[in-house]
Amino acid sequence: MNKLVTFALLTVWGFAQAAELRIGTATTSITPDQPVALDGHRGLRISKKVESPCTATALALESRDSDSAIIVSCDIVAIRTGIQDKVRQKVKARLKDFDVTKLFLCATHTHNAPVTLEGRYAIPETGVMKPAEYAEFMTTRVADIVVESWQKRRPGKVGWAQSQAVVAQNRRATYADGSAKMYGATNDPKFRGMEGYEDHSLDVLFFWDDKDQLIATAINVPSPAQEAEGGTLLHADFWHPARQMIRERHGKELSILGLTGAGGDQTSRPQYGKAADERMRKLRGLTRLEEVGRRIASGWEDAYECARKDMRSDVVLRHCVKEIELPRRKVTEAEVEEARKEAVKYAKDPKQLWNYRWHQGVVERYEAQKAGTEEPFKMELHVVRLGDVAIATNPFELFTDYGVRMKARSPAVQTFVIQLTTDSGGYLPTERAVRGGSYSAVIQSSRVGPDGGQVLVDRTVEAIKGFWEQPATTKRPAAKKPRK
Amino acid sequence: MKTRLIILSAVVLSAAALPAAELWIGTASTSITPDRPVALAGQMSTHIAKQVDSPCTATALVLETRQGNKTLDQVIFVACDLAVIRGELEPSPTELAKFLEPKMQREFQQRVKPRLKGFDVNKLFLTATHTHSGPVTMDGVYVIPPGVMQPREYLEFLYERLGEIVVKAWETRRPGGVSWGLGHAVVAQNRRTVYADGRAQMYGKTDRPDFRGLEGYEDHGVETLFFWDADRKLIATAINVACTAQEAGTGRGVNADFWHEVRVALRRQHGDGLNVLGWIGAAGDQSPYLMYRKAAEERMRKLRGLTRLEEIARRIVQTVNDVCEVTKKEIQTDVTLAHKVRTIELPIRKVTEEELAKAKAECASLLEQEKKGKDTLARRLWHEKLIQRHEWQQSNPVYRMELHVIRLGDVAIATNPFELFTDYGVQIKARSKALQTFVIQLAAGPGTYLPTERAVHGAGYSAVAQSNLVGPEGGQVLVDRTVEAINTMFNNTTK
Repeated sequence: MNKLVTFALLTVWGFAQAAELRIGTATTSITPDQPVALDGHRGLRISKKVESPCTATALALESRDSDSAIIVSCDIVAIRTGIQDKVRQKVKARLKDFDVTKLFLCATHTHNAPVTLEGRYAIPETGVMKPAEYAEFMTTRVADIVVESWQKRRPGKVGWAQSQAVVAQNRRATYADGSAKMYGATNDPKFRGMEGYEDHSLDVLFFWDDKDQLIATAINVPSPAQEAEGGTLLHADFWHPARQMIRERHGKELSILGLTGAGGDQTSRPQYGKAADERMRKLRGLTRLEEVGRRIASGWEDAYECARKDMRSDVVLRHCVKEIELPRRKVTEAEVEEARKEAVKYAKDPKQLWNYRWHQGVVERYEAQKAGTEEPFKMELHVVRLGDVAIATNPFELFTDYGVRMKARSPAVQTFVIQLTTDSGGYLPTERAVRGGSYSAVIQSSRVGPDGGQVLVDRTVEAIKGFWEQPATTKRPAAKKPRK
Repeated sequence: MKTRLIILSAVVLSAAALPAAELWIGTASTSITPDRPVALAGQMSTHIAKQVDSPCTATALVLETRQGNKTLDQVIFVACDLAVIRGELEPSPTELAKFLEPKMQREFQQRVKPRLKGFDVNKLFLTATHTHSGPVTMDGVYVIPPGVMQPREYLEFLYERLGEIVVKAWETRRPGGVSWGLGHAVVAQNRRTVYADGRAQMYGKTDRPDFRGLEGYEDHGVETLFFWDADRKLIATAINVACTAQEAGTGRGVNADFWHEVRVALRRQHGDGLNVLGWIGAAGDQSPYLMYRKAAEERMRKLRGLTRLEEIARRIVQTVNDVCEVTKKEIQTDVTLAHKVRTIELPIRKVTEEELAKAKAECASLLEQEKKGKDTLARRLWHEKLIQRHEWQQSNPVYRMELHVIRLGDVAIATNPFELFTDYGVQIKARSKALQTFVIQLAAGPGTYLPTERAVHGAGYSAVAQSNLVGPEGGQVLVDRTVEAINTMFNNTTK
């Protein structure tokens, strides 16, 4: 009899041990209810209408040995300096059992979401929500879902899969004279090709509750969400239709985290073959945002079909957070001279505040560099291991090649690279891009250059490798047909 | 006044309703797999296939436009599961000579000419899918033992089989319709890795700390033509994928590579009678070989229970079916067909004295190894060709290539005989006035790799002088001449 009790207890303990991963998730709207200045362009734009809601989604993960991560994806252009700290401060007192350094925010890079940082644009005094005011509103909403997701965490399962979606398009055209141009004409006789690679992989994580109900998914697309940038509509760009299409099949409550991969030189807008693409879109009766959403949703379904054959509850979760230092890109004499001239040109026109700051920043960097007071670029790096998956963050608009280097050298089966995370580091161009010049690769666009980019790759790969010294799974549940 | 308007309207309407140019379509397919052991093409040493993993086939597609009884224009495409369109029945005087003229195509055109009444054989061209597990068509490249089908024997067999399908397609042509569309499939992988010192390597390792990225672009567009009979039944499809068919290659069996799996899957859905033409887009620096993310790709493949060839086919078939469905509401029976064939001259890539000296040294070293019984013939000929070029280039500054440019409705089709680096294909597509532009490499002649400037800078196989007859300068001329030819056919079109 005692033996039977012991056996039963062991069995119960065994099941408890098998249900190791705890998952919580929550979503909220971060759409303001009044006009706001829209971020991401040089000129001031005030929103006139909400076309699709900007949202934030939190995913809380905890393992049996108490490592944890909370990832928050936000429909916003960037996680401007101070935003993540505000959320952490708001959360700290409410979550005594969570180390807030293990929380990070990332941006989908929609160019039609509110400005969160004061001083970038000359915003009218009245009738428009101020950036600080919006930042307060947004960080409160985000803090609420962080708390909610953590408190709701329950035993569940995770799966991962890789698929493909032709979304990202390299946006830097190169020409016969060696120059490059972002969004440059490709029907020019001097056009010689797209500067770099395109990453069409779609890395996806899936999360199920203890009843095998799909509750959340995180989708890593190496393309910023700026298909429909410009104008005065407030919207979440392609992530809105992508979420709608996936939820149509998998439930309204499904939490979806849009994670933007290394895509500093990529966008979702076709750079050539546009007429054929447009014809196909019209034949399908879709808007361009819906077409991008369709590709993501279709790739997601492909991945889901495989991932649900391999759901896991007992996986390694490890999360390291470290501050790393990257060498800053040096400003040359020629660059500072040009920047000075440009800054003077824009200094007195409040409408040109963005342009003034863009050039004046270079002048200030040069002065610090000359005075020897310049410090290395410090960034917060998160590396997470979840089963066979590695997740690595950076605050940049990171050129695709760096993401490819990380993925190629990573020992993980799948490596999710998430850019525009924790802070806003500007573009990080490659050597070939710096040679080609143009917006995104010139000194004004980048605080860290190719040498710093390589340090970022090396440190990230080291951190990932550090996690791959133990098996991913100690126990895998017997395969069974999951619920759809 | 009212009566005049009615009469005028009636005239305009009836003129519009008349088929401007009725499209006639004929198509046929055959096996080009011999029933004897055969040497396989595309390898650096001799590989004898004693089994057939999947049949190599050829597919012919005839298009003709007619106005009443008058033929307006015509074309015959023949897509072959071969590595290259290179070879000849008459022995070439030198290794270099094999690469200078489209002898295989000429020989076949002359063979079939008497059987194609009313057709100008210059408007027929052959294309290769670049399978590296198809029969050798060139003599003298490999040491092929007795008992194995020799290249010239194979060519006789090939010409016979190709003749049968071309004649059949020509004779069975009937009025039909065509539709077209653009899809995407992630099949091609840029196969040239770049390292910190600026060097590039084909199939170089990507997990090295000094790996800096893939050299160029990847073109994941899939351009597809669909051909329908009078009952709107799909009878043929031409699929343009910018990726060579060289995923398979155990060296043990004849294998049509992923095109076999594509055909099997499409026929399962559209009927056994469907003819599929595999056209390879500009892909000198692309192949289906995975350069990174291999573990994830392998896991996904296994979870699906597919072979790698089936996985590639799954991606192509998925988009072809999707595009077929979306575009079949726009099947056209009266379309413009125009076909230009011209010889264009491209400046050659000149062999430098330094390259010549290195090639001579390599040749001497390989000859020594051959004397010791090593199979290095293909490698030695690779260097020897360069030595012959050095002398040839003194009096031959240009390479002459046969260019076919076709307009079919809103679509342009442009050929070249090279393994053309992707950037050139992108340039042609970007500058073309056509709605869609199909670029077919390894067509109508015996080309070599045609690398970009950045590739020449990085060097490595495919971008060194041995691998090319034409370099970046010639590549640009090819692009410019092709775009000119296309755009004169689409003069009034604004893309």
